[in-house]
Amino acid sequence: MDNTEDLSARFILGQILSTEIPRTPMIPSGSTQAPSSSGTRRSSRISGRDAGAQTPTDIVRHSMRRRISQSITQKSQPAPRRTAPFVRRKPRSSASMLFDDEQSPRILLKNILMTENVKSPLVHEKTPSGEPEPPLASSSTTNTHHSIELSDLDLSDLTVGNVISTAKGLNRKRPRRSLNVTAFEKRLRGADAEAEERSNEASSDISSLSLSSSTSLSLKTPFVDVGTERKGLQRKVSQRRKITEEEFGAAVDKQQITGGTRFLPGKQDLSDTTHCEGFTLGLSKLSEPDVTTDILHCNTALYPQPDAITSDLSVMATQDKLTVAASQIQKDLEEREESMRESEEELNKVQSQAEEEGDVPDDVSQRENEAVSRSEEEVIVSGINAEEEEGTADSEAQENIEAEVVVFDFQEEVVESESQEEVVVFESQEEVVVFESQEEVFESDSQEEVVESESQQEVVESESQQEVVESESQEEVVESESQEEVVESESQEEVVESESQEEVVESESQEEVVESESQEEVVESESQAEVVESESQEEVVESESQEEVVESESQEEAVAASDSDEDEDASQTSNKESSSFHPEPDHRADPESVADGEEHVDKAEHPSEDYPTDFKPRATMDSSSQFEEDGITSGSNKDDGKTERQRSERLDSNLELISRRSCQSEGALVVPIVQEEDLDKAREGLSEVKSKDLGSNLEMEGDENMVEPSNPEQSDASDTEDEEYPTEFSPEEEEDEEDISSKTPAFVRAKRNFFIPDPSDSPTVFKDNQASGTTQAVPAAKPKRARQVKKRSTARKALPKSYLMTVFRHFAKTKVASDVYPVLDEIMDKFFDRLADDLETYAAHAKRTTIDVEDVVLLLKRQGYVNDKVPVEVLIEKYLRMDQRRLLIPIATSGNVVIPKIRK
Amino acid sequence: MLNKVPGLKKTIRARAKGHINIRPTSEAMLELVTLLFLNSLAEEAKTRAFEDKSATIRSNHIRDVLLNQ
Repeated sequence: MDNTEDLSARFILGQILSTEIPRTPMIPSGSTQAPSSSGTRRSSRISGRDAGAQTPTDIVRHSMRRRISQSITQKSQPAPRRTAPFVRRKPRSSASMLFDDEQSPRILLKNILMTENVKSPLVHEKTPSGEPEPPLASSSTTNTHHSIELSDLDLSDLTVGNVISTAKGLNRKRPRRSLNVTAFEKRLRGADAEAEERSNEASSDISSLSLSSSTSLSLKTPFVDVGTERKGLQRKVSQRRKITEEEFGAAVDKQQITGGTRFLPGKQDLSDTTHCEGFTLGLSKLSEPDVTTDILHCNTALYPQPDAITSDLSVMATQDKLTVAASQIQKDLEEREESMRESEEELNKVQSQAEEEGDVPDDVSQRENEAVSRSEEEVIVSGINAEEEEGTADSEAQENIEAEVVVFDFQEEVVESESQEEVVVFESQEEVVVFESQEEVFESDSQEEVVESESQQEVVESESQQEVVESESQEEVVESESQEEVVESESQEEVVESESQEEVVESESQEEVVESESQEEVVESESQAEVVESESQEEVVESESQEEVVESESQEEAVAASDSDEDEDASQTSNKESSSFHPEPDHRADPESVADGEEHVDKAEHPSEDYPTDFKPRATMDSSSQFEEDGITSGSNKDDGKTERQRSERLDSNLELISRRSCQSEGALVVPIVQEEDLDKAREGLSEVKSKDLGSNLEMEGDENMVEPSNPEQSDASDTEDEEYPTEFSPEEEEDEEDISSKTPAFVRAKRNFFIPDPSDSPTVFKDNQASGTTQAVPAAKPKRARQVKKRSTARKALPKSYLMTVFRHFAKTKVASDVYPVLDEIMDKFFDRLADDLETYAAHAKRTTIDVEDVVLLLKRQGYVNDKVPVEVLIEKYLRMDQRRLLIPIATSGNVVIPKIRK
Repeated sequence: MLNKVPGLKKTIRARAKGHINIRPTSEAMLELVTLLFLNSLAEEAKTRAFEDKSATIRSNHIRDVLLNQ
C-alpha cells in the first residue's frame, strides 16, 4: 500500500519506534519543558496522555510528544523539537482525527508528518546545512533517526524537503488545493536539490509543505483522503494556526539566529510559510504597498498635508501676480514717461513763448505804458495760456506757466495769474520766473482767496527782475500792476510794487538806491526761492516806509542811497532812531502800530535768525509807527504832488506797522486795516504788505524793521530812516529807492519764508491781499491776517513731511509718488486725533492723568496688533530703536540692577 | 524709524481734550503705534496699487484704503 508511496512515513515510524524505546527517560522530564505556552500546553497534554498510555503505541506516542515538546521548548536541541511537532501534532491530530490515537502507526506517522510540516522552521534549525540533499530513500531512513534525535532532522528534512519542494511550487500560487501525489512525489525527488535553496524561503512554504505532507500522507495511506478532506475542512488552518503561534515565534527566532540555514529549509519554510501566509500575504496586498510607499516618500502623516501644496500654490500665485504687475507697471511707466516728455516739451515751448512775450512788456516797462503793456501781456498771456493748455501734463510747471500766462490782474483773480504775469514779464529769467511762479502758484493754490495776486506779481517781478537783470531790468521793471501813482518815471525803472511804484521817490535817489538795491537783490536772489508773498509785502512795506521817508524828506534820495549803503549797520540804529520819533498823533500810530503789528506777526510766526535784533527795535517801533503815521499824514499834507507818494508811503508804513503789530495782537491788525481803508488806493500795497507780512518770516520782519524805522523817520530824520530802510533791506532792496528796494528784498524774503512753513496757508492769503489792490484789500487783509494767524496755529502738521515720507517709503517697499503727502497728512491727522482720544479715555478710566504704557498696550490689543501669538515685546523689538527699547524692556545689568526699574 | 518723531508728544497732548501727561516710556509706545499704523497703511496701499497694476503708490490708492476700510 503505502510502502511505495509513503516510504518516509513508515520508515520514520519504524525508526521512531525502534529508537524510541531507549528514550524513555525523556518522557518525564521532557514533557514538563514548556517555555512556550503552546509547549506547555502540549506538554501537559502529553503528560496527561502519558499517564493514561500504557500500550506500546501509546508509549511511543507519548515519547514522541515529549520530544516534540522538548524540541519546541529547547531551541538548541533540534531533536526534541523535532519530536515536539510530532508529538504536538500527534495529540492534536489525534484529537481532531476521527480515528483513535491508538490506531495504526500510520496514523501516528501521519500526524507526525503533519505536525512536522508545520514545524518547518524547526526542521531547518535542526537539520544541519550538511544535508542539502537528503534523498528520499535516505531521508526516510534518516528520518527515522531523526525521530529520536537527529532523526528529526532527517525526518524533517525529508518532510521539509518534500514539503518544501511541494510548497515551493505552491508558494507562488498560494493555492490551498490538494496536490497530486505524483506531482508531489516528483517534487520530492526533484526538490531535494532545491531544498536548500528553498530553505530560506519561508513564504508559502508552510502551506505547501503542509499540503504536500498531507497529500503525501493521504496519497500513501488511506488517510490521505481523510487528510485531504480534513484539510479542506479547515484542519490545516486550525493546525496551522496553532503551529504558527508556537512556531512562528520560534521560526522567527531561528531565522534570526541562523540566517536561514539550509538544514531545515523545509521547516523554516513551513513555519515561515505558515505564518507568512497569514500575515505576509495580507500585508503585502493590503497595507504594505501603502506603507512602503509612504515610508519611501517620508510621508507618514495620517492625512495628506495640504499646507505644502497650498503654500506652493500661493507662492506661485503671488509670484505670478508680481510678475504680471511688473510687466504692466513697466508699460504704464513707459507710457507715463512718454506723456511726461511730451508735456515737458510743451511746457518748454510755452515758456519760451512766454518769455518772448515778456519782452514786449518789458520794453514798455514804463509805467506810463504799463496799461498798454498790460493789455498786451494779457493778450500774450492768453495766447500762452492757450498754448500751454495744449500741452497740459502732470507737471506743475504747466500749471504755473498757465497761471503766469493768465492775464494780469491787478485785482483779485486767479493767483496763478501772478505767476503767469511774472513769466511774461521776466524774459531772461525763465528759470527764476518759473520757479517763482511755481512758488506763487503753489501758494495761491493753497490760498483761499486770490486777492493780492497782483501785488504779489509785482513783487515777484520786481524781485526776479532785479536779480537777473540788475542794472537793466531794475530800471525797466515792469510792474504788472504799474500803479498809476508812479510819480516819477525814473524811479519806475526799478522794480516797484504796485504800491511803491507810484511812489517812486526820485530819480536820483532811485538811481543810487537802485544800485544798492540791485546789490541787495542779488544777494537776496537766493532767498527768493521762498515765500513770495511775504517778501512782496515786506517790500511793499519797506517801499512804503521808504517812500514815506523820502517824501517826508522831500528828496532824500541821497540819504536813501547812503542809507542803503549802510543798511544793516544802521538798521538797528535806525530802529532806535525811529523809536525816538514818538511824538506823533495817534492816528499815525495806528497805521504804524498796524505795520508794526504786521511785522511782529511775521516775526512771531516765522521766527528766523536773520533778524534777531529786530525784535527789540520793533518793540519800540510801535511808538515810532505812530510817528510814521503822523509822518505819513504830514507828508501827505506836504505836497500835493507828493500825495501819492505820501499815500504810498503811508500805505507802506501802515503795512509795515500792521505787519509788525500783527504778531502783537490781532486787534492791532484791525486798527491798521481800518485806518488803511481810509487811505487811498495806494493802500493796496499796504494791504498787500500786511497780508504778506502776516505770512512772512523774519525776513519780512527784518525788512519791516527797516521799514519801521524808516516810517517814524519819515517825519523827521529821513536820513536815518532811509538808512534804516536800506540797511534792513540791504540784501533785498535797493532798486527803487526806498520803495522798490525795501519792497523787493522784503518781498523776496517773505516769499521764501512763506513757502517753507505754511505753503497752504499764508500764500493764499497774501496773494489775495496783493491781488486786491484796492481798499477792499485792506479790510480783507486784516481778516485774512487774522485767519492766517489762526490757520497757522492750527495748521501745524503732526509729522514733518520728510519724516513721514521716509517712513512711509520704507514700509511701502515700492515706489511712492510724492503726491501722497497731503493725503498722508490728512490721515495722520485723523489718526492722532483718535489716538489721543482713545488714550485719554483709557487713562481716565484708570483714573489717571498720565498716559501709561499699559494704556497703549491696551490700544494695540484692541487694534489687533497684539494678541496671544504676538506679544508686545515682539513688536517692541521689531520696530523701536535701542534707546526706546531700553526704556520699555527691562535689561539686566551687572550688580543686580535692572533697567528700567520694574514698577509693580 | 531710525529717526525720532519730532513733536509727537506735543501733538498728542495738543489733541487731547483735557490735561494729560505722557511718560517717556509711553512716548516710545506711541511711536510704536504710529509705526505699526503706517506699516499697515503702506501695506494696504501697496496691495491696492498692485491691483491697479502700478508699482507706484499714489494718493488715490491711499484714499481708497481710507474709504474702503
